[in-house]
Amino acid sequence: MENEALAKRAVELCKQRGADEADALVMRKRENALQVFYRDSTLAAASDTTRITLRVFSNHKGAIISGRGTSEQTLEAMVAQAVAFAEQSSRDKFLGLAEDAQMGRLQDDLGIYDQALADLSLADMEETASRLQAMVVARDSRVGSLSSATFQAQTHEVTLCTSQGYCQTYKTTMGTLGTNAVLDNSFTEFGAEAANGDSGKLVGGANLSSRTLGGLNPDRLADLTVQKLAARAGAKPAGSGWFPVVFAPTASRSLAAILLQFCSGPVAMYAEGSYLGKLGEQICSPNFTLVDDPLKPGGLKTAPFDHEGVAPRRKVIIEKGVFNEYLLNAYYGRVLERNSTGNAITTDDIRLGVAPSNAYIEAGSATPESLLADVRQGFYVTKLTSRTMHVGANFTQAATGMWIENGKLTHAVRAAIISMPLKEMFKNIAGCGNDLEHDAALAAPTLLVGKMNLAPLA
Amino acid sequence: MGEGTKISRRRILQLGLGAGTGLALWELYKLAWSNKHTRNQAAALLYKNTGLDDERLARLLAVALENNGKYADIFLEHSLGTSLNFDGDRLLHASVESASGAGVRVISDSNIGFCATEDVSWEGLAKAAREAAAMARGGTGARVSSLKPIEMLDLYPIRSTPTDPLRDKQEIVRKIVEAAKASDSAVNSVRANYSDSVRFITIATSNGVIAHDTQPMLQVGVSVSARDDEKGKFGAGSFTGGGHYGQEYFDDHPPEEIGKRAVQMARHQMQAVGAPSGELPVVLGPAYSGVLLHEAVGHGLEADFNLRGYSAYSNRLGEIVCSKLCTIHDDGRRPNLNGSLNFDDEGVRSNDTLLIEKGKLAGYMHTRETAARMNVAPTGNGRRQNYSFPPMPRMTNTYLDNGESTAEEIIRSVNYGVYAQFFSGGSVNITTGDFTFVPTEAFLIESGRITAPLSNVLLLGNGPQILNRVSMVGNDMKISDNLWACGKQGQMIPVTIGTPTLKVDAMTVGGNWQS
Repeated sequence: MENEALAKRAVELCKQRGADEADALVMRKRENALQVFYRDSTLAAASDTTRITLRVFSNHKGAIISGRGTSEQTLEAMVAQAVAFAEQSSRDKFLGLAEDAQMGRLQDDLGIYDQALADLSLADMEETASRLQAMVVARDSRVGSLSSATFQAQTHEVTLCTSQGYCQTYKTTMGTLGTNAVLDNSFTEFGAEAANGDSGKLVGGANLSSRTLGGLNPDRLADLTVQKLAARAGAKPAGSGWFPVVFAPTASRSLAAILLQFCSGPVAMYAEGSYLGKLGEQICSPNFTLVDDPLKPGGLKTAPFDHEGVAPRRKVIIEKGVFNEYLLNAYYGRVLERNSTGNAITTDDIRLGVAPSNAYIEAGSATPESLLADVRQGFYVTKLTSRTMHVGANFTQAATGMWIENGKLTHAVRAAIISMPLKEMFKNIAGCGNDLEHDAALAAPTLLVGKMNLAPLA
Repeated sequence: MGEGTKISRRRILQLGLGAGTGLALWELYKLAWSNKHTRNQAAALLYKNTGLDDERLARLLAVALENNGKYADIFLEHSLGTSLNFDGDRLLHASVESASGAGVRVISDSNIGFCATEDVSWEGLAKAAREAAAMARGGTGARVSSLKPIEMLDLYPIRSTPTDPLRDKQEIVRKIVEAAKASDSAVNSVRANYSDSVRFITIATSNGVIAHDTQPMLQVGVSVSARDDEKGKFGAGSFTGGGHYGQEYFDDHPPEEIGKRAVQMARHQMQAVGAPSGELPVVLGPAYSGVLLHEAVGHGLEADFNLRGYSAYSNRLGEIVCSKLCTIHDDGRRPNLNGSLNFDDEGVRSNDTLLIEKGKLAGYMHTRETAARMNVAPTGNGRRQNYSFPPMPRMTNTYLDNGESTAEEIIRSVNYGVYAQFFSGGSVNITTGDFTFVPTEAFLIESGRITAPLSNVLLLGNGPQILNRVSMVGNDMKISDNLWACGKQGQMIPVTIGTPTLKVDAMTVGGNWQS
């Protein structure tokens, strides 16, 4: 069944079973994926899946259904059960469809669908992946024998229909090129040293995603891969104690993710206001601005409407350090007596979730080199990994990167734990770099933060 | 709670054939929770309702091998589940989820082709088989062997089922919530979730395996928050339990204890002091510290990483890789556990795989493909998130054997260090072996005694190095009773961990934020 027919039929079933209101989100995804191992073998995979998410509401009570490959008979049985569950659940006056006046329509030229990418054959993908792999090896012949390259091409068709008669569909494409390169540490030109007990190898990779085939540049990815790998070789422990920390763009975006989480409706509702502060309060340093732009042409999260149909709009979440606006969907908007900001995302929760679209920290005026220049000794973080779950009071996270001596990057650091009170960290952003690149859905420039506690892996 | 009523095979056939596949899935979901003797029949029936039988599956496998592939398999899956979310004992909202589809895989001399489809008709499956065959691009070729059922384990019999699903589940949640609220006056919010699901699996392989399984899964979770306005303290705690159980799960895991457990975690957070920073002795408590094995050793022993030489443990079979006090297993055959399977997602019976014996590397975890490439037998570790993914070597239930020390002796041996008891997870770099653990409950050890709870603490180490620093192993091995999910290359699967109390002489501790 085509998306719209399936969505309309599902909404009709809900009405027949006694629901006051219903909406159906149908997401069809076709994917070809290819992994090419160096002179060895390929793993090719293809899939065509359709997921339907159906919300039923009755007298401000609700239940949610989701299915993949679901037959109409199963869907009927599920709808009947969902309506029965809804009847037995608690009334919540904020539950319901998004307001008609806020619903989004298709827009031209969002740059999110590329026919050339949609038509790409597995043979074409294999040719590109093999070429990418050859490029990585050509950058340095010491990288190669165990390396692989991947290429994923996806086409999405998203339809939302409601019992109020709204029904819209949009299509997107997404291509992702990836590398996984292996560097044997015995190749001394990289200055690599095997740590006690490790494999004597370094494995690293990089990814590049784009809505269009033209946006996938294997040359650039090959450069990135070798640069990243070389930067990790020759690792030594970081210093122990309190040091300034500079976050590379790849790590700064993790800080933006934390802020976006605190600025979302559900956190505001359950935590009775963000730990960081309330709307209108200064929660970051004045040189810090955080934006969410769901209509950015060609953006990896650009869409004409969110998962409950609301037209999204550009928002300045934090402006010059001041908490300016929440991220909201219709439910949390009603709770907080505001309009949805068009950030609804489907979950297994009838209220739906809230997520940023194309979010970014605005670029500053300093070059990354000038941010490093003032640091006598410090930690340049390129990647953040696990962090403590309860970040209410404190930021504690494991990180890898490079050591800074007299304003220069000196050697790789394998791992260290960095810590600082959360509020203090965001208020101590001493500098924002001018190196913002919109190469990911969440983008950020280099950031210089004040002194943090470091506990290094010895 | 009540015992399930036996329903005859004839009745199932009536439900299935009379009502069509769709309604049958819903009915079979209910039956799967009601009678252990019908459960595997239910999986077999479901695939027959799609118009398939052993002969047709063999023909599909032959189609998959038409391009001279040397091995093919078909994985058919139907699943259905419900989830109830409560605020206090008030049903907030509910969800119902289903999935149906198949994955066809073809392995040739050097390539693998995999095609996933939701069209489980003969035509849909034949198309997927042809596409997978084309992607694998041929080789030496093979013929389909006659399909024979594998000898089944019965690891998840259901003994107890709800008589009235919603009311019985609500009653369990009520007990959890009341116990949580009663155990500390600082508790200001309790949320709970009760979910159950059933997966009906059929696997057929070109080397002659046909297997059906019905896999029930129960999950109950609670999260609490507590605050002390006078002291300006806030705490949160959560616990998620379950596994391949019916409601008999609550016989050994009383709902009241589940509620109190989450409150205890929140209370410790409210009392917590800042963590120390630097290299310190760390005592890892029993059960949940199995995350050490999972991150520091387990992933590194998955055969795909070793086949390509990425792992810190590559080409080291037979070598001493850690303290001789350590013997580590991956055992998919433990009844009811989250990671247990009657057979893996390639139709290989689950095994108890010895990974490390007294410090010596004894074996890797394999799929059929990695086992063939390394000339060993598959270990029953071929797993996938669902039909839309090809299988990979994955862990099931990974645990470390008992040692000889008592927990008291181990704690007493530490003058100043950290005792970590409960974890929310971790991560590892397979190649370097560097890992991070995230304890959600940890304490200071001072003069051989556990003292103040710690807040925001992280543990960092290198797997091979840390396992060489294990100097004491307790005699109190426990399997974790909470649910763990493991992620690898975009696929999540349920797993379980276990360990006795362990002492690691030095590990990096971080989280100090008080300058």
